[in-house]
Amino acid sequence: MLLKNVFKTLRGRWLQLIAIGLIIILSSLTYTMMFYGLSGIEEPTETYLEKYRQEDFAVEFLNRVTPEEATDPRINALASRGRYTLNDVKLADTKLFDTLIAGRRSQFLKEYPDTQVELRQFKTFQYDFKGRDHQALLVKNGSTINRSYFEEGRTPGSDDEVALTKIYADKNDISIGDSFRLAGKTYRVSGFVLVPDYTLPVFQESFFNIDTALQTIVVTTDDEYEQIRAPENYRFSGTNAGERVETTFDAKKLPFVTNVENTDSIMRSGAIYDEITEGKVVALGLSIFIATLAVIIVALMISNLLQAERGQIGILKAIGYRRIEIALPYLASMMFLAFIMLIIGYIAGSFLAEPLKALYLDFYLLPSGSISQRPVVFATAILVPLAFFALISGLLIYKILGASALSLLTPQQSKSLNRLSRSVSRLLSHARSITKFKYLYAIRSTSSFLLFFVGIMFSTLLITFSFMMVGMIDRMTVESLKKYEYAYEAYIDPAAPPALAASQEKFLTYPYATVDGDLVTLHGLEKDNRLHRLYDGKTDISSQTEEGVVLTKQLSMKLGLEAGDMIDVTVDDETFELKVAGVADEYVSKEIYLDIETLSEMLTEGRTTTLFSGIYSKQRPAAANFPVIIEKAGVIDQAKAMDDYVQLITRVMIGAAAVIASSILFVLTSFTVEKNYFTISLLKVMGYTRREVNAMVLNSYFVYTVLSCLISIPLAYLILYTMMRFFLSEYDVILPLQFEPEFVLYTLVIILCLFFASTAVSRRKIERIPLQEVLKTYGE
Amino acid sequence: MIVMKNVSKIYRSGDIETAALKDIDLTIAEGEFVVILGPSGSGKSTLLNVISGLDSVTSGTIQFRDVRLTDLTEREMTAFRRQHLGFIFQQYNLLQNLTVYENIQIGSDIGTNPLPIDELLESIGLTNARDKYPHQLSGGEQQRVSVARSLAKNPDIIFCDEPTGSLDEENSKKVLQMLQDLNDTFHKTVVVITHNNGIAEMADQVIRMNSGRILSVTRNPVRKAASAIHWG
Repeated sequence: MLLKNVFKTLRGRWLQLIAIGLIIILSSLTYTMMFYGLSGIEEPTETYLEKYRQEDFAVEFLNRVTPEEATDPRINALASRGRYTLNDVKLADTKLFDTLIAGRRSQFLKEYPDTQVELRQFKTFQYDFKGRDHQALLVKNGSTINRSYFEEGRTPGSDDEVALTKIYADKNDISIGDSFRLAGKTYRVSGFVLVPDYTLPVFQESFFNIDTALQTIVVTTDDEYEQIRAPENYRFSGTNAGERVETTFDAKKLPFVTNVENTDSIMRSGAIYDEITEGKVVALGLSIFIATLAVIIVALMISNLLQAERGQIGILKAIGYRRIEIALPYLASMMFLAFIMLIIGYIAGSFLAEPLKALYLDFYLLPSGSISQRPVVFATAILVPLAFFALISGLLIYKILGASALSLLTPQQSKSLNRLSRSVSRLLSHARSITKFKYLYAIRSTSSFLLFFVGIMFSTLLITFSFMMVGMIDRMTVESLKKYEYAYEAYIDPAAPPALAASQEKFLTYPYATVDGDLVTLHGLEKDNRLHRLYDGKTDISSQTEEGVVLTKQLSMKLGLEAGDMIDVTVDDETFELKVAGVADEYVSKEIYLDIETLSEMLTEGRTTTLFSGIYSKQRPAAANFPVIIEKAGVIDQAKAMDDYVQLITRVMIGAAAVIASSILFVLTSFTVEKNYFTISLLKVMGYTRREVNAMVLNSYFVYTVLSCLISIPLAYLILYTMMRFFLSEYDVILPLQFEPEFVLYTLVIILCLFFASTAVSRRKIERIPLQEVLKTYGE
Repeated sequence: MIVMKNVSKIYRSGDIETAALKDIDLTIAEGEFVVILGPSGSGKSTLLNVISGLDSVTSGTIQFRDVRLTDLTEREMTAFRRQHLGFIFQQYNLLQNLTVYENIQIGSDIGTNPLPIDELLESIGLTNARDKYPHQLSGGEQQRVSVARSLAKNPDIIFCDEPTGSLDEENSKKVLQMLQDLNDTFHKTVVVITHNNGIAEMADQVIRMNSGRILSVTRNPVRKAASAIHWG
């Protein structure tokens, strides 16, 4: 009978229960979805990476011969003809190339004796597929490290066969056996391949794009690999006996090495580790946070419920019911409801784990495994929060029911003010009593206010994050490209530079310069170029290359340099001290822009000012003259999928923020109205108008909402700034999260819309409180 | 000042109708001290509710000076209560977050011609407790604050529903004395609902009710002071 009575009471609060239920659902949903989603990737990934021997570290080295290497007369002869890259050496004399690489390997192993290294050879190039620019990373099969894994089909057995990534094939309707045109030749697709050193398809350092629909790993036979004409790059892939290798090295002993990085610090191969580890921590942290909000809110509801029913509980005690008999129906019904909500969250989370996994696999190049139910996840998602609900609710119920029957039957005596109320009271000592009443109302209960403040803060953070992420991918990838006037970027064969058309503008790039040991690209532009202007925000800063050099934003942040500072740039063995004249809005590459003639002189020790490596053009240049042609529109196109992904995240974040903020606001304001039923009636009787009463009871929440929101915005900025620093230091990637003053306004507007929508029910409740209530027995 | 004609109030709950007031005719003159007496369920609280506009009538009219209260909209009725009426209840209904002074100020803030709060504090003998919170006061002190709050906006009529219901004799007499002083000094009309016959001795006019009807209306030739009434 008592249970029936409690159920009836709860039925009258169905709206509050729905709001609380949403938060409880969200807590188990978040954990289940993220945990299952991640574990669906983690287990097959671990097996795959171990079996196919993912590199433990990578050694990036100069793609040109060093002065020491140039002491070899054969190499010197090539260098003197302007053929100083490894690529040039390989094309001219494969054996000489092998000798050169063998020399580098033995030099490296002398310094790193406990390691094994293998040459990783790869080519990147663009090709046209169904009218769109696609990108390929052609890798030569690794023999002991980074071995190719065929998800389906088999390794290419003849020179006319090719293997692609499965996600790329699926997104482009390519099946095994289909013909596929690449680099001017038609191949037959023999299988779908993955390589362990590219778990994330970051194929170019200078262009952060992970769209798996527009780029693929390509594997051919080794012979065919050598036949495909495209810019080639090299690195050493290494394994070692210990955990991590030392990344600082003696540049004098290893003059060709530019960088030694352990896998977990490399975006293309190691980002997945952080993704899984941090994903699980975030899953647990978020669900604990949301579950804590839910526990507080359930405790508040129980407290309100019991206070409202003090009289009848007192009577039950007076006639002989024991505390446990009275408590059990309350506890059991709340636990039953919490259990149902947690189960709903778990089931929804299990279903959503599959799309989440698919979302990961949309970008990560990893094998997929099926998701299986696990008792430990069930326990963590349901039983742990349920135990907390039971504990906190049980303690609360036990405490309230501990009062004697007589005291329960008497209207509750008022309690002294909490510390927060006393502080605000002192702060408002000179304010009108109505104002004071208004602002003290929302903070009467410390736990309610804390819940409210933290809830609004969390929602504001999510919304602010969302706004700051808008356009991030654009800024990160192609925003600067969009500003440039050129449509094509084409590279010449240095051995046979072509005659240029009047509309083509020369540029010169040198990717082997170093600053503080870090590899940077020097980028020479013509003085009065029209096609590649440099911008800082909306300001054209191209002319600043006449006064010094212009750094990209990434390099500027990495080195902590601003306009007016000096920068030491090393080219070969010579160091140039240059003045930083400006910083261009480019977040992807570490480049230094300078005048093309100056750069030409720097590279040729003053012999010529006319050196160039490619051209910018509005019209497509002749393929015969330019071995590599990159279409700007194609690159921009490739960034779109990532932008869509970020937009999806943005919407999910705003949605979650809306659910949390509105649930908390709704529940708290309706609690406030219930608890102040008599006071509201009294104010109405005294002659306060409906508007005044609404303002006195609810508008304090309005002010506290605004305050909480305004405090959270700089906090959000601080957190994101820390994240940016982390990504920059860990991966050399800038997340260009941008803060604009109008975001404060947008966030406030959203939060306030949520406020008014969530408090609408409470406003109606206030209107419905009858005047005669004040005549009834009053309990504060 | 207040004229009620043929006032009836019927509560409906499903098919059941309960007549709380039946054809009430009543006149209360300006500056009178009126006591309405009756047992539980006699309709005295309903009578107070309808006179003060807290509840509507089913039929009949109520006139205050030249305003017909039964014709007013909810908004107009709120404005009317704001300007003319004060209330004191059995429960003190003080706002727990506010000090004694601030609780009184809540009453004075909506008045067009409010009384000075410091004087009110002095009159209720709580000048030294102005910065105390309700939980720091005794029941009698809290009810005195409630009286001061109702007076603060300087209303024309004060309605009191069992104002001494929660107090002991000593404190009850103190509160009643305050009401009498109000009536004598400021010529406020005071309407007190009670089941305590002794309080009737203080009144100009005594109205006895039962079963929703007025049984009798009598006038005391001599009003007793609060301290001299028979308690019980």
